[in-house]
Amino acid sequence: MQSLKEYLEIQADEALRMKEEREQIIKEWTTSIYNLIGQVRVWLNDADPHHILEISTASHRIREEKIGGYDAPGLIVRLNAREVRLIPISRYNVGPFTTLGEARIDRSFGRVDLTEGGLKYTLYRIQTEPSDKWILIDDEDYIPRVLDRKGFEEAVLDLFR
Amino acid sequence: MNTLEDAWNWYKESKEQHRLIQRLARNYWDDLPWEGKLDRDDHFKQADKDKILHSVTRGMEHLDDLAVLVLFSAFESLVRSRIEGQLRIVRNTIEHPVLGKALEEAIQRIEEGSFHWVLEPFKSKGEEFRKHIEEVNQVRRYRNWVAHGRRGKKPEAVSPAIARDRLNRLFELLIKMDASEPDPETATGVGPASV
Repeated sequence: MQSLKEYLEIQADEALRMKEEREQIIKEWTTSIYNLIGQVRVWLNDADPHHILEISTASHRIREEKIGGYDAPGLIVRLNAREVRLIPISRYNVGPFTTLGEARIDRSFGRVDLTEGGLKYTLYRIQTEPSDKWILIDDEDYIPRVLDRKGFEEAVLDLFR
Repeated sequence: MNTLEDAWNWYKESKEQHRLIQRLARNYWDDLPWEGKLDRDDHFKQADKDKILHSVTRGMEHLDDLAVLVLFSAFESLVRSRIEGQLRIVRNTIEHPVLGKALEEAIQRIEEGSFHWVLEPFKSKGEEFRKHIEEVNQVRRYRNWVAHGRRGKKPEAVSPAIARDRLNRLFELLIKMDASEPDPETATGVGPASV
């Protein structure tokens, strides 16, 4: 018969395995946000040769049921008194059920919001392999589009105006 | 709000009104014709642009979560009253006291019991139902987290548009199921009842 000590050792191993798994997911997710922020900074810098945008990073504490608490990066873009924020929302979220060209999307591997406090664009990470793919959905018409330079610039312009 | 459409329209209109006030405060506040009627209006005379902007932004931060709550409440109410109405029609046809009592208890559970219990039996209708009910359960879990003050760890996040989409799809499936099944009124000869 299994002793209490043996039982608790199995439980401890399981807890450690789950902790490692959670840490792995958090690392993968936060890296993905860092990559997104890196890409967005490139697009912003390219659009701003006179450096009138003030760009800074922020940290957001998130607590999710499946992976617990963690810190995720965000971005703040200021233009005079206006401010647009890129805010990580969650790794686990209910994805949009929508079509994007031929593709049917109903899964999401993370959500980040782009907002000026009122108007908002929701970014869903719909693919992780071979690389991340994000879609951008505005909250007026809910029309999804692949996140690319043009889509991002249009969204930021809409938020600043 | 009695329908999902009502709830959705409330959300869209509230958001639009918030945005208009936010835009007015941010872009046009200083250009308003303050001298005259506006500076004689006590509400406007005391108004501070930054405070308005701060308040509106705070209000909008919570509007999406509130919308998920409102949408789900409308859906829950629709489903409960639909099923309750159907069971009442059947109840009127049953004379056996044991069966009648069992149905009355079932009706009470539909009215007052956990909504999870209300939806679960429909999973037996097949894979499509199972899938949609699970999707709606995700919305329900998020709604519960919001309703309990956003305490504890956050379940899978749900936006209002996704909530509406999922709730609509399950409700349409329920209607489709009813349309494909024999009408209890016709089958039993019982008079019309409001469902």
